[in-house]
Amino acid sequence: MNQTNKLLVDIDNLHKSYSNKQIETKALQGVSLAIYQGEFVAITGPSGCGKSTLLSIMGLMDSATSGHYTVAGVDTKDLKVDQKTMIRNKHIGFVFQSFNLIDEMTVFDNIALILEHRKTPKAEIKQRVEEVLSQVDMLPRQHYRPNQLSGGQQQRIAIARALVGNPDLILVDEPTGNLDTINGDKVMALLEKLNKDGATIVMVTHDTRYVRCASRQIQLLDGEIITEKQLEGVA
Amino acid sequence: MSLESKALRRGVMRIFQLPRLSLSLIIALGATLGAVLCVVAIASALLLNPLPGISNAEKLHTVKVSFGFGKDSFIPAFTPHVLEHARKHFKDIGPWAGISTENEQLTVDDVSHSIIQYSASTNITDILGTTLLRGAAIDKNFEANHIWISNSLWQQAYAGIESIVGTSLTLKGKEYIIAGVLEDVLAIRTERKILDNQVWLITDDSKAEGFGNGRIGGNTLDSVLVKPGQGVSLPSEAELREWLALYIEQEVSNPRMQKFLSNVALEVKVEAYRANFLSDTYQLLIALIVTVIGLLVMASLNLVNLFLTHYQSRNKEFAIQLSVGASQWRMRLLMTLENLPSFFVAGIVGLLLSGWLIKALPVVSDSNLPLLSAIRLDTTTLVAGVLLVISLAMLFGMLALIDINKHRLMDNLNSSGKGNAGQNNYWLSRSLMLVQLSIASILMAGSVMLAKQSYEFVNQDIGLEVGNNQQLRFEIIDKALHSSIVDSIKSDGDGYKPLIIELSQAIEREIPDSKVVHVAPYGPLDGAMRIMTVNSSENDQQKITFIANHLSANYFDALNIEFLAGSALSQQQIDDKEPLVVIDTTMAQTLFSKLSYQDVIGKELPFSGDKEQARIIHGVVERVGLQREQSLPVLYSDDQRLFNQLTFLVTKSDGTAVSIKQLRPVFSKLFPRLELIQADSLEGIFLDITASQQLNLWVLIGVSILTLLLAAIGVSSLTLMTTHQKKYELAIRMATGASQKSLLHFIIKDAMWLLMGGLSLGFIITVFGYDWIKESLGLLPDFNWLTLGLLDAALVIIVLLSVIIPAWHVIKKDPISALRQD
Repeated sequence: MNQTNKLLVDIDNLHKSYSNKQIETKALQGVSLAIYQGEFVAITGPSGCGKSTLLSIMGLMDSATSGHYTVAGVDTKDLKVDQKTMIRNKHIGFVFQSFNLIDEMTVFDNIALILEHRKTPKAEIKQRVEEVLSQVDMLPRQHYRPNQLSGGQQQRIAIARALVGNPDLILVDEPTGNLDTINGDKVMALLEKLNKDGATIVMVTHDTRYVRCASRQIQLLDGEIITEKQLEGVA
Repeated sequence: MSLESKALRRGVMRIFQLPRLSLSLIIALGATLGAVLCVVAIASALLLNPLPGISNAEKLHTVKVSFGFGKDSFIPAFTPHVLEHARKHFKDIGPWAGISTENEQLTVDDVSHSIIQYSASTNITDILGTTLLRGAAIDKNFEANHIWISNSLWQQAYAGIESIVGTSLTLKGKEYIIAGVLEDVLAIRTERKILDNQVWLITDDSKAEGFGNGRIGGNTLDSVLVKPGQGVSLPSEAELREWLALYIEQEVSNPRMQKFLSNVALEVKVEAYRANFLSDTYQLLIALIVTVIGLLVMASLNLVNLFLTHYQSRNKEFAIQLSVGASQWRMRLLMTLENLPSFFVAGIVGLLLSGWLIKALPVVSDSNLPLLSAIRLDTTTLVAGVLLVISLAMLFGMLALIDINKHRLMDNLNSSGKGNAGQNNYWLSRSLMLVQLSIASILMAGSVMLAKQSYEFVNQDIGLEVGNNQQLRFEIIDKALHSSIVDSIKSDGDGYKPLIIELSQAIEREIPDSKVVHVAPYGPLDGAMRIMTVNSSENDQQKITFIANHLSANYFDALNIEFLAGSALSQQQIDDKEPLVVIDTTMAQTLFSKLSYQDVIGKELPFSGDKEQARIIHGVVERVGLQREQSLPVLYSDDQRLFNQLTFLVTKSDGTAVSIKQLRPVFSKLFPRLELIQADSLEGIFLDITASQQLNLWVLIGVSILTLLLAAIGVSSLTLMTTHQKKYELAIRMATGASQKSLLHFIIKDAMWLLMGGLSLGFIITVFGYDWIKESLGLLPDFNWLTLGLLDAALVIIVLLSVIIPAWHVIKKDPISALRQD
C-alpha cells in the first residue's frame, strides 16, 4: 500500500486483559498497527488469539486496558461513551459475524438506522439506502424482514448497513463464518469490489481461503502480532 | 417516518401485540393511578383550592373554647352572648364572628328541600369574604325577618328567578323575607351535613342572652372566627382562659353554675381556618396519601421488574442501535416514546377510575368528607396525572440500557440471551419483589386491622333492637308555648305531659296500626344527650359524669332492652310520680361496685340529680348505644328537662315507615305551634351514625384488594418471566428425565424464599413499626396478632397461586422445544 495515503488507524502498544475473579486473561499484548486509507487488511489467527478483541477495540465497542488507539485522527483514549458512539456513527461501519440485524425492522429500516441517528433528511436517507441496496444487489428485498432472508442475503444487508454512512473504515468480523461456501464467496467478492471502489476494510477471519482477497495480512497469536505481510489480492 | 414516530407507533402496536407486558402495566398502573388521582383530587380540593364561599380563608383563624366533661365530652363555651363579650374584650385584635348550623327542611311550592341553616353574626360575610350575588348585603342594620339564601337554593327551589329578593319563605313556622342571595358556603366546620341549599339567619350578638337559665350547651356556636389585623397577634391560650374566667365572674349570675364553670376543665385552641376546618380530615388524608404512595411504589416496583425482563429480551437490539451510532439519550428517548402509549392508556384508565371513585365518594362517604361537591378532576389532578404518566414513562425509558455494558458492546452483541446471561437482573428483580411483598404485607396489615375495626363498629351490638322503629321529632317553635311549659316545670306542674299525651294520641290516630313511645328529648341513638356531673355519696370526692335519659313505661319493651335485675316502671307508677329510676349496668358498677345487680334493686340513688326527694333503683338494664363498652353510666328517670324538642318512637305493625313529606302537612295543621323536624327509621339513623366507618370499610376493602392485585400481578409476572428465562434450564432438566411436576416443584422452591423473605420482612416491620405508626396517625386500632396471621396466610395463598398458575402454563408448553429452537 502506498504509504502516502492518509493514516486511518494508528494502534500503539495496545494491551487488553479480562479479569474474572482470580483468573486474568491477556487478550492483547502490545499490539501496534497502522492502517492507511484504501487498504484491505485481513487479521487472522487461531480461535482465542485476540483478533475479535482487536476488532472490537477498533470499532470502539470495547476499550483497551492500556496503549493508544487513534482512528480518523481522533485519539480514543479519554472518549466518553456518547463520543465513541458519534465516531462509530460517522467514521466506522461494522459487519458482524452474526449479522446483528433487528428482526422487528424491515431491511430498509435496518440500513437507514445509521442515517436516522445522524438526523439525515428523509429524502436523502431513501436515496442513499436504495443506492447501497443496489450496490449489494438487494434492492428488491428492501421491504423484507431479516428473518425472511437467507444467511448470505442477511450478510449483504449487514454490509449495506456498514456502507450506508460512507464510513472511513469498515470492520468486518468473520464475514463468512455463518455462511455456506457459495454465499461466502459472493460476500467476499462484494467486499473486494468495495475495497477496489475505495473502501478501507479490516477483516477478521480464520478462513485462509479468503485472506488472498486482502492487500495485507496480519497474523495474531496469543494476543501478539507474529507476522505481517503485503499480499497481491486475487478474486 | 422518523425514529421517534416509529417508536410511538411501535408503542401503540405493543399494547396489542405484547399483552403480557401492556395488560399487566395497564391494569396495575391504571388501578393504582385511579386511587392516586382520587386522593390527589381530594387533597387538591381540601388543601390547595380556595374554600368555596370563603375567600378570606387564609386570613382567618378560629378560636375554640370548650368545657370538658370526661375524656371525650366537650361542650362549646361560645354562644352569641359569650362571643360578644370576647369581641369587646379583644377589640384590638380585629373583627370576630360566630356561626352555628342546623339541618332543616324547607318547603317551597309544596316541594320539600333539605337545607342547612346558618345562624351567624352580622359581619359574617365580611369576615368570610362571601360574595353577595343579589339583593342587600348583610350588615348591622338588617331587619329581624330578613333571610339570605344560597345560590344553589335559589337555582333549585326558585329556578333562579330574577325577582327573588323580597320573596317570602316559611322556615320552622316563621315567615321571612329573602333579602339577598349569597354564593354557596361549603367549608364551615360542623358535625352537621353541609348542603348546597343554605339559608342564612342573622343574629345580633349584642342582644343575645347569657347563661341566664343556668344551663350550658344550648345555643352554642359551631365556629368562632377572628380576622386579625395586619401585624396583630392572636390571643394566647392563657389570655383566653383569663378572659373566660372574667366572663364567668361578670356574666354568670347563678352562683352554683359560676362555681361549676370555674372548676370545669377547659379546652382552648386557636388555629388557622383551613387547619381547623380540616382537623378531622387530616389524619384520614395523611393515611390515604401514605397508602396511595405505598401502592404507587408497589406498582412501580412491579413495573420495574416487568420492564427489566422486557428490556433484557431486547438487549441485543439496543446494542445494535448503539453500535450503529445511536446515543444513549436518544435510545432512552425512543424507549420513553415507545412506552408512552401504554402509559397513556394506563393514565386514561386511571383517570376514568378516579372519576368513578370521585363520583362514588358521596355515596360511600355520606358527609364524612368535607367539600364533597368541590372534589373533582380539576386542573391540579389532571396535571398530576399527566406528570405522573410522563415521569413513569421516562423512568422506565431510562431503564432500557441498564443491562447494556456500554464499554463492552460486543458482549451484548454476542450474547444469545440464554442461560445465566439472560438472568442478569436475577437479584435485582428478586430484591424489588421482596420490597414489594414487604410493602404489601405492611399495607395489608394496616388496612385489614382498620377494616376489622370499621366492620366491628358497623356491626356492633348496641344492646337494643332498632326493629322497624321510626323516630319522630317535633320542635316547639312557638316561644310562648315553650315559656309556659318551662314555667309549669319550674312550679312542679305537668310540664310537657299534656302535650306528650296529645301528640302520642295524634300520632296513633294519623299513622294507622302504630304504637307510640315517648323518648324525649333525644332518641336512643342520638349523639346529643344531657350529661350531668354530680358527687357520688359513696365517695364524696368521686364525681360521676352520666347520661340522663327519659323514662317511659314501654321504652325498654319497644327496643327490647334486657333487664338484668328488677323491672320497668308501669305507666301508673310514672303517672303517680313514684320516686323510682332505672339505671344501666355501668351506673350500677360505678355506684355499687361491690354489689350484684340484684342487690342494687331497692337501693337509694346516692345523689339527688334534679330532685330533692331520694329515688329508689327499680331496675338495672343492659347498657345500650354505640360503643357501649366505653359509654358513660346512664340514668333513666322521668325528670322533666328544659328542651324544646319532643321525640317519639313509632312502630307500625306492618313494618312500613311514613315519610316526613307525608306527615309534615298533617301535623303542622294539627299542631301549628310545633314543627315536625325528623321522621327517620332507627335503622337509617344507625346507618347515618356509622357512615364514616362504612366509608372506611369501603376504602380499606378497596386498598386491600388493590394491594393483593398488585402483589398477584407482580409475582405472577415475575414468575412468568423468570420461568421463560429458565426455559433452557428447565428444558435440560426435562431432557434428562425431570417430570413436569418436579419442574413445578423446582420453581415453587425457588419462589418460596422470596415469599418467605418478603412476608418476614413485612411481618417484622409491621410488628415493630405498627405502634410507631399508630402514635403518628392515631387512626389505627390496637395491634391484633390473629388478624396479622390471617392476612399473611391470605397473602401466602395469593402469592403461591400467582407462582403456580403462570409456571404451570410455561411448563405445560413443552420446554424441550427451547432446545430444539437452539
